[in-house]
Amino acid sequence: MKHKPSLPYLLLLPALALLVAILYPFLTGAWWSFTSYRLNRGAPVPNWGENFLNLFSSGEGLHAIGITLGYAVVVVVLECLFGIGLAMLLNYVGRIGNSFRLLIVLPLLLPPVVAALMWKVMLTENGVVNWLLEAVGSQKLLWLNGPDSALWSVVLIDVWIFTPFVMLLAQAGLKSVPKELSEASAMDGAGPVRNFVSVTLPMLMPVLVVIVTFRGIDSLKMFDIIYTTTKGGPVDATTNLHVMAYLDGIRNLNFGAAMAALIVLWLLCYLISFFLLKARRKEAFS
Amino acid sequence: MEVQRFRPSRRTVMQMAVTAVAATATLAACSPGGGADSTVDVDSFGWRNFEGKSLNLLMSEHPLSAAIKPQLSDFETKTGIKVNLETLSEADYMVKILTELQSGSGAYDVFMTSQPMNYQYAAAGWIEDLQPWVDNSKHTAPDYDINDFFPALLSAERWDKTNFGGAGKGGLWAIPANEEGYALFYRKDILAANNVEVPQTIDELIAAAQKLNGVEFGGKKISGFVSRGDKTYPTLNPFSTFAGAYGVKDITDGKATVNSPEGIEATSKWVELMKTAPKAASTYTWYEAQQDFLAGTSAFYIDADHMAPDFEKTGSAIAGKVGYALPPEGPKGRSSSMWLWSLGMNSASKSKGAAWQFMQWATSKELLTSAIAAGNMNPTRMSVANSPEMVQATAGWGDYNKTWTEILSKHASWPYSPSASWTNAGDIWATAIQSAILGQASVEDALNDAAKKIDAVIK
Repeated sequence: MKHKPSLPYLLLLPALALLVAILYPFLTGAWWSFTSYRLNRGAPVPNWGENFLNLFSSGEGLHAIGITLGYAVVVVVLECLFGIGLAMLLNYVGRIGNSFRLLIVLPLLLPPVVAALMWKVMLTENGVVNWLLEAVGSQKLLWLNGPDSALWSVVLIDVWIFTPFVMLLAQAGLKSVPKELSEASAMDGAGPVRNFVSVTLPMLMPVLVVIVTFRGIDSLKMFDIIYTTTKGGPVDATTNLHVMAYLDGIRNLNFGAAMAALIVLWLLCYLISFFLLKARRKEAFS
Repeated sequence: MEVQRFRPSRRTVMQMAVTAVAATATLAACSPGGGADSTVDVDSFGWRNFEGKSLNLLMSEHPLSAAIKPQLSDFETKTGIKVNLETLSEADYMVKILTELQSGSGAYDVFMTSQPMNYQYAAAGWIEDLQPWVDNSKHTAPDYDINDFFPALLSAERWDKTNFGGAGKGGLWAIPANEEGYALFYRKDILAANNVEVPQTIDELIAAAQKLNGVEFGGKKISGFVSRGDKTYPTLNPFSTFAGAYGVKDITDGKATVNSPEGIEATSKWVELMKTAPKAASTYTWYEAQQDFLAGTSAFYIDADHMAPDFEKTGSAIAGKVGYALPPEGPKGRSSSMWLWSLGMNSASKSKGAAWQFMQWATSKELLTSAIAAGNMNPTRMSVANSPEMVQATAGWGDYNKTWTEILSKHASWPYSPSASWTNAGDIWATAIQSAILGQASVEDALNDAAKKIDAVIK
């Protein structure tokens, strides 16, 4: 059987086209991040790293990086705690748990923007949440409108939406823990806590790495929930890198600064996925 | 082994690609603007000169677009031009028009715009100078009568593209179709029940709002005041009543002066007044502020005077109870910003002749008169402002007609510096005011910080 020598190369073409479609905008953006490009003031002029310098030396830039990292850590930790806890609870109650699971995943079926808007309405000054608070004798809270509470309110919405996602993956992971192992450790006198730490958690590790990778990257580049509820405010209380880049670029037409923020965000996502996938590889070999 | 080693690295590449796409997805690809001008040469004006052409319009959901929409078929019958009107919520329309204009595709021929947007677009060459069209008798209807527009409004649409100067000179970037000045609204019933006179000065207003804040009225707890507090430049419109009354300038000789002594004083007074508003008002846009006032829970409200149709419509809880007053007086007298919802033409439009015909029709005496009934106020043509239709529409609204005409003729102007990056500077200023209201920084610190940031933006 004879192959035309050009055929393998032809077959590569679609992949090559895809690569160009991905790399061209990416490299253009990377180039712009080294320019003082303002959309309504002529062609890009290089300013060699001034945008990055501004980002890392200005209060706003460091603040946005801090918010980005802090948000990701808090959200991932809370979602893992609640998600794994729920999964174990559902596993424990057995069959009935399966029907609960259907209810619990409902938030995942909503587009995040819709879920965020729904919460925004519920969390207004005279919204249903404050009404409930007053009904039990508590004070009204400012939620998304308060400089100190806005970020936590966004975290609340994120956790509400994405805990079911963690729960689903964790449940699948728990299914792979052999019953014999926990039974054996119980025989040896391990209590439930010891059993979780020494048996369940190590067995869950591979799944946990996947969960942290997905949720970590998603929450680093969080945009939709924040922008629909607070637009990064009050003042800059919820301005993470992605929101800052949007305001710089789309609102203020300063594409140079916006691209610099996005490149930094991309690097953060890339580094985290790099190390987590490396950890996963180790996990797979051990 | 080969496979084992390959798998993670492929994932890494995929991850890289996915994040790269996500990071760039926010920003549309850009190409330089400027489409070919395919204006058909015509011998003389005629409404059917551009028969068979089609136009795409982008507008915000607003009484102006609501007034135009049901009458589009009249325009189509009159001219043989097909019109597609797309309306979006204000926030979505602002983003969409920006991305469309910068693409240079000419996808939308005519769109809604306003003065600060004109500066942004004109500096980039995205918006057509309309003066040559107005002057061209082959393209402009003999009865269009451009001189019927309030001269102050036409002047506000002009700018010669000089950064921080040149307002009122140079190109005519849009035709005004809706005017708003900034008035003091008050609840006549609440003031009367508490023996409070209508405040004339800023200090009187603050004292009155403080007195009324927290009183019970009609079974509701009343807040003294409400207005916008959002961290975007439109907040500077109601705030302009204070800024102007103290003679604050945003930028003087190329340097930010929002932190001048008068700037600090005006902002301190505004913050004092906003402390009598609901706490959440520090993040309100006009929409939320209006909802509060409509709910009947605020005694005073400073915002666009043409909100009257919403207050007075049948079924409104506050219909007939609202007083309309001039903006309060300060050391430099009374002052108000002026916002003009206007029609602009895409300089990359491929049907400019037809687009200009549409703009003439949409800002004609007939259309603007019939638009009154749809709530499109205030009129931008003198003949329409003085028409029996306007008198009739506002008959039950107390001092409304007297107030808006006096604001327009004596106090209203666009008080901020024309510049390609003004909207950015305006956002910074509004954020500083929000920060002071929320107690995140003192007025002085917030404004000093804002001045530094504005200087960096405009340099």
